[in-house]
Amino acid sequence: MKRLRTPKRIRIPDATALGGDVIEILLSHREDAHGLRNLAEHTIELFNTPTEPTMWRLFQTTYDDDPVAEARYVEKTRGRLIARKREDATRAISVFNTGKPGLASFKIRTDRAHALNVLGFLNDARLIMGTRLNIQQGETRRAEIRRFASPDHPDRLPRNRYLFLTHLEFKLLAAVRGAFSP
Amino acid sequence: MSEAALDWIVRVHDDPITLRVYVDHVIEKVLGCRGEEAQSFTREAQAEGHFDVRKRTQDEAEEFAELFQSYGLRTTIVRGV
Repeated sequence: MKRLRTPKRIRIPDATALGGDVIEILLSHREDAHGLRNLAEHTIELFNTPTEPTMWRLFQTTYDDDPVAEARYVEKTRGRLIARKREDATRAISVFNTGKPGLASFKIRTDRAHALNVLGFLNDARLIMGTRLNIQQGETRRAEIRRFASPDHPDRLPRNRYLFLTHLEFKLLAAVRGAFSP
Repeated sequence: MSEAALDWIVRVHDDPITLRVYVDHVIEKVLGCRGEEAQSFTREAQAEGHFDVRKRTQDEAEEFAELFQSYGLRTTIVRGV
């Protein structure tokens, strides 16, 4: 398992639609792009073990009360589901491998199709991390932040990574949906 | 088609991780609706814990469930009553 370099403070990422088909992702440093690429590589490795407990949100039970139908459905769809998720993560890696330093930032430009692959990867990564962090149904954001607030909390760094991905996903969604495009 | 003929329910569940705006985005992609209509499904999931899409055949229900799952939404299939 690859270890990610994690900042002590959350560096806020951004994404913007530049017009035409171009989406720009703004990171604070090149190492943020490296961290995202490493996370995508690690996520691809995890797709090899879809029955691992923290993967349950990606590879879920569809027929809760019918094991025969469930087995048939898994047989029919699991390969396609893994292939699609692997494609998202692989294309995300190709996006994170590009980019150049800007003024106090690291800029990555890509097209909308690849941005949608990055979006798919970010959502999968958050589902895996959120499961590991036991993000609770009904827990308010304030209660969630309080739960991880102590500097000694063992999950503080993973939580920071999760917040980083959450913010990037939110901004990228806005960019691909054209909400903030000029 | 009558409501009674729609025997299979694709049930998309609310979850604490997925962003609300992402759910709107997926609903637009999968169901082809936009704006307020898509947001009404998302609001229903938050209020009721899930929203349902009724389908006539099991194959059709599975096609939609697979699509929702490919986007990471928690989706189950139940037989309609």
